Amino acid sequence: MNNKRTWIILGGTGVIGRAFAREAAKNGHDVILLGKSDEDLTRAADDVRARYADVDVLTTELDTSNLDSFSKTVEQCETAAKNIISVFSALETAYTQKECGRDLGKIKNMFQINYFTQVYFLSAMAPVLQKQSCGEIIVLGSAAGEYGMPDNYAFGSTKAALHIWLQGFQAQMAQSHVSVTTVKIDDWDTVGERKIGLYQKPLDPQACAESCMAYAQKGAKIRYFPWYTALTVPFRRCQPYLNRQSHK
Amino acid sequence: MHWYEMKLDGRGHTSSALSQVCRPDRAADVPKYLEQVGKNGIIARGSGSSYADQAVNVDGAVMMTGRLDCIRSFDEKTGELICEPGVTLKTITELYGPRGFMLATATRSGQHTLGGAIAANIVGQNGHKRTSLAKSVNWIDVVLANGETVRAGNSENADLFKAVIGGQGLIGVIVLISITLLKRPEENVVVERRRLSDLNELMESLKTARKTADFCTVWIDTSARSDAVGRCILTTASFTKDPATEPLFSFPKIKLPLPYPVLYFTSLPLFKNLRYRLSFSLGKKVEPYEKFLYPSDHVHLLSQKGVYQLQASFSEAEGPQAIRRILTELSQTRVSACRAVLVMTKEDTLSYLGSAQRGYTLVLDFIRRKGLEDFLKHLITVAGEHNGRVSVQDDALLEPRNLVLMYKHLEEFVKARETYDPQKKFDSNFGRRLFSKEKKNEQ
Repeated sequence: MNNKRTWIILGGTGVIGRAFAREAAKNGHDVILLGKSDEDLTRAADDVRARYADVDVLTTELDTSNLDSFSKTVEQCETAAKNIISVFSALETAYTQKECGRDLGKIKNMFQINYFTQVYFLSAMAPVLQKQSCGEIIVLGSAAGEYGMPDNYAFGSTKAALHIWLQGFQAQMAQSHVSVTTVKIDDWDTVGERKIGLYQKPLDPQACAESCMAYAQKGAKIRYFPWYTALTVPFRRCQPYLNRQSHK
Repeated sequence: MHWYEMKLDGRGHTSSALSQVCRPDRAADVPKYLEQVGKNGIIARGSGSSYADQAVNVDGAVMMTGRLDCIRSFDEKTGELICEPGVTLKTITELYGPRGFMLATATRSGQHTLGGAIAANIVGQNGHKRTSLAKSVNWIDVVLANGETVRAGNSENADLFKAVIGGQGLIGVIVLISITLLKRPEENVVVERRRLSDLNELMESLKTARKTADFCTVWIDTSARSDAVGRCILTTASFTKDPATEPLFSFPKIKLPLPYPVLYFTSLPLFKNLRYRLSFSLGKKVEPYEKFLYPSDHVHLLSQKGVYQLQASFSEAEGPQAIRRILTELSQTRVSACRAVLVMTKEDTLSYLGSAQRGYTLVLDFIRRKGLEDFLKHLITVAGEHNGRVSVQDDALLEPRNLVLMYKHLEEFVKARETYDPQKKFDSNFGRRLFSKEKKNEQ
């Protein structure tokens, strides 16, 4: 990544989206923040401007309930971008399994945001990136999409679906020299009802953003954050089977 | 809006508790979380840098403010920075240092969040020039127990301002801060480290340093006995136009974990003796200001045994005598502190719970061991006898009766708490230890 980029950030008002916007601006790239609330977008944009005065920061509202409006949003972004376009998606909504049990509409809502919105937006964005024959796409996945846990398997399933779609999308975009990186994060704050121990540190959004940028620069396909999640995931996958054995 | 069950402790690992934890992303979410608070109230927690139970709330709720970290605006002309409380001091230095600005107070750690630093009213290495970080705060927006957001400053809601600063989060949650950054006089500082043989020599040197040096800190060898009591390494620094000198070799700046054996070794007389005699960095050197800042950030306490901190402030008149008495007791009883630091301070009139006096502040860290609590309570009594004030920001052992004797504005703080939070929605282990009525009655 030698050239200046314009990073389009989905979920630019969320904590990781904001952190990535700062990281991109720190590296001299321009930023277009996409989010639902105008107030939050202004707050996030002001934050980047106050930190790095010499980068362009634009905001665009994204109506996640109207998937057909995305082609217009993509057009707006394409017009506004002065440099090579890259995309970072940190769009996510999460509910615990108990919440989903009380209201099945929450599962629909999670699929709408975590899967359909990102799939539709990236699909609309694909021709633009293919046309420029370069660029990066980073999508935040989750370690919860790797195995089903009793407290968040509905959320995990939305991420699992996204992971699978991204694998195929990655192969498609590779033909146009566009890299697609899936970063599977392990953040206890996302959703769940587990007790958090004394030495379990919460996810550091800035460190996550820095890692995402580094992964994109290397053109990585799939990465875990924190890195040691890659070591623990195989064991966690075995957990339901081990539980079943002990139950027998 | 999610709540988690999480075990939290202070930096010193002496107090831990299981709490319900929330992490608001926006200031607008804070009142919504406050509505859901139940038994034992809620306490705001920044980076969790307080040593003891200030940001720990057993069977209660804790609001982690680290995600309220947006900067709203920065005015290059006036240096006014408006930001949320989760922005760390290090971030501010990294962003605005290259533009020629600096925070008014040079704290020992940059990991503190700005909100936490104001709520704890922390003093820096330039305490003799600038009272505390809160001195440069123009105003703060505080969410009170009723969910209302109120602006407080020196000119509006001054009582609320004085109570929130240094109030350890017991009055409300800070959600927005206006602070003035100072123009940094020069890019570099000339740092001088000198070995001093006893307390008399130290006091003489400090008198000069108070007038001449911009920053001053003293590492004390607490194992020294009889005539050598108070022997130390004095570090002074002042801004200079001279170019920074590149050292032939410098240690890489990595965060060093301090597990119990290492920490224990640092408390041994042998270590202190070696450090005093074999200190390699004596003399003068010019280095960039940013490099000089935040020396504590390279150390991470891992000791599960726990570390107590005693931070006592004395007046210029009583200071030498009190410090001599405490250091003599330390060397006689062989209760060695793993860290002993002395800084000069100015009288703190900003906050009701401000501990700093015009004089000296002695900071002592001890590894927890059997009988240490009683000894530290004795030292608190000694400090009280010399009209000293034990700082509440890292203390774990103060009792309500100590507080009454040491803090002359205590009643005003209690009154402000009654006014702004009569139901004690904001509470913590620290709050219950020192301000609960039942405990006072027991006393």
